[in-house]
Amino acid sequence: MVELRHLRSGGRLILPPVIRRFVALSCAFLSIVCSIGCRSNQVSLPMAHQAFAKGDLETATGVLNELADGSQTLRYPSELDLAVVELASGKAPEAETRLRQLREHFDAVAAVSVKDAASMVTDDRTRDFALADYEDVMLRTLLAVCSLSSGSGDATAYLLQAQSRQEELAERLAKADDGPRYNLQVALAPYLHGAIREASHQDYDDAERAFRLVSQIQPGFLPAAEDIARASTGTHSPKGHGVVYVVSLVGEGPQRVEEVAATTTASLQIASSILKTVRNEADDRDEPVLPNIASVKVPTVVVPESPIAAVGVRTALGFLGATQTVTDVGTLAREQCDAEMPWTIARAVARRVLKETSVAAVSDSIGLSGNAASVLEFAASSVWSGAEKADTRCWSLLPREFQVLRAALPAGPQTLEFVPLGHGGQPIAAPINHSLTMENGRNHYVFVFAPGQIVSIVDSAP
Amino acid sequence: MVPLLVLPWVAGCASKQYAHILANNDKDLVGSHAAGAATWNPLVEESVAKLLSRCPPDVRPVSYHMEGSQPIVEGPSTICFAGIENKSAEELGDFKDQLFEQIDSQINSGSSFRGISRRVVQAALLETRLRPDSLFLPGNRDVFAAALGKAGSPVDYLLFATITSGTTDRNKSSQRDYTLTLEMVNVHSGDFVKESAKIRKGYSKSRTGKWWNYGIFDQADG
Repeated sequence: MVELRHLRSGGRLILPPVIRRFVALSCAFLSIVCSIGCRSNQVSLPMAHQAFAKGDLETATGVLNELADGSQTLRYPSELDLAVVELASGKAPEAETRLRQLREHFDAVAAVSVKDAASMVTDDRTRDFALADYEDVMLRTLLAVCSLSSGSGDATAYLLQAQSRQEELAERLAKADDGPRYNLQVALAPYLHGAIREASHQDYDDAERAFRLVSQIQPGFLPAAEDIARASTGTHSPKGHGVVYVVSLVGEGPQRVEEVAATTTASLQIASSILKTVRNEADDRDEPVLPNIASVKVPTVVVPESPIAAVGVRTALGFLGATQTVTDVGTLAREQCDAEMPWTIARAVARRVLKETSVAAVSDSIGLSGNAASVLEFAASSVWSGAEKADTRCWSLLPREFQVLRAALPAGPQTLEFVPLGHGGQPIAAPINHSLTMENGRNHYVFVFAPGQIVSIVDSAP
Repeated sequence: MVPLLVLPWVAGCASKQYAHILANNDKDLVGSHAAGAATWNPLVEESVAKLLSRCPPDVRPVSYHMEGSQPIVEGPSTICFAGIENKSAEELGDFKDQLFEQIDSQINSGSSFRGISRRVVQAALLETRLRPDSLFLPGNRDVFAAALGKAGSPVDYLLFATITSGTTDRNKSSQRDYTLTLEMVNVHSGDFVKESAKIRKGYSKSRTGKWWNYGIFDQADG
């Protein structure tokens, strides 16, 4: 028991050395806690998302620019979102430049290993923001979309990069014997590649391969069968016709939110191996003793409800159809997050153990023992661990789904009517007309941004 | 305190990449998972050389002309490279266009033939809505030749390239044979010349796989 006595000398409060150390240590911890998560500016990512969903692209751009120039933690997620807003605003060259720089940045940041994960003593937000695997592939695919829109001529290269990155990541997953397993394949990349190769009127075999890959990745994409048949025996379009590809970015994309998850046997086993790695313990028989941790904060994926299900397309000739899902971003995000959950929980458990060990070591080094040590350790550990937050950063302005519709139209001026369709197939807003000029035997791409309603329509370069 | 002091706060570290320009006499990289430059470059050189060596040097000049008049183009025969068809088990990725240009350039560099621009070929395919693989049919060939002629590029020969592969698996090792076939069809007579080149390649999971499977004891045999 520590004797608590208040002594006054010359107007100063004199505390016993042990208490002074405790107070100093607590202040240090509180300052760490306060420094985590404090933001001075008033803008936030949800503000940008709301503005984008309403079609207020100017406000979304302003908010994201401010966030990208602000804290390092939110810089890269904000820049990714900013590229999407720029693309929707018709500033494809700016979006392409930004995405290219981001691709180089993310390629340079090494993947976080088990040892790196264990090395963190605050929480996962202090890590460099790294893209999820599907986001990595999507970045290259969106570069191709920017290129088609700006006419920079690099679309094929970006699409090949997307497919090559996809294979590389899939191989890395397959090599990790006891690692997570999830689908990271983005069918939009081979689909656009097939569309471009088919329009050469010469490389039908490439187009057929690409469409077969699309069908394999996204079996529910029914138009793939028609695409395969056309690429293997037919031609690009009837004489005097061009082809329009409507690519719609439908719904609000997956977001990461914090939730409290219970620890599992699998996650505790992984945590144990993380701790052994950190402590360089080679002896398998000496398992680290884990404290009783029932739950930890982790990020989980939520796909916000959106009223829009697809985009209907009509011309003067009649109803062409509704766009069909070629890549379900929400499902890709959920699958990866769920598959990685035991590792995410394990990292949080390992971090908690390291914090408690550190506090105990500090308590020991300042000579505390008995109840005083217990009080200090409990207080410091609680404050330190309580300050933890899950890393909820992600590329949040990606759509819920990428959908496409292909139609052959007579060459010459055409007016397309786009209407957002609800989950029951009914129109949920007034249609929007869009004029374009079809070229004989050529592709024309139209990108429709519809997070909840149609907020923007962007044409490909002539 | 030790863990706090020892453990770095840095989550990851930046990786760097380096590059250098290859000298002409540097060897091509042998692809570990797919064909690559070390396979395709020699295949193109060998198949084009074989094809050109078999073609008669005194091929009749181009014969697109108006009735009752002389041929409007004199000189070496013109050849239209219709495209490369990939029938192999591998995706060619960015190699396909590279192979096309290599073959096209090599044929043009000889004195026997004059190539037709790829853009003209694509425009003719667009106009006729014919697939390259349908040009083997005499009727389609005539329509296509007429379209090229109308575009000011009369044609004597159509050239088709096909890539095929054959894979043999043995436990964790495999052998893949790559063949590049060039087929040249005379538009006027329908005669054709065909040449191919082949490269065999072994894939294994370990560095010793080469000696294990293809060593001095001829193990590949059994």
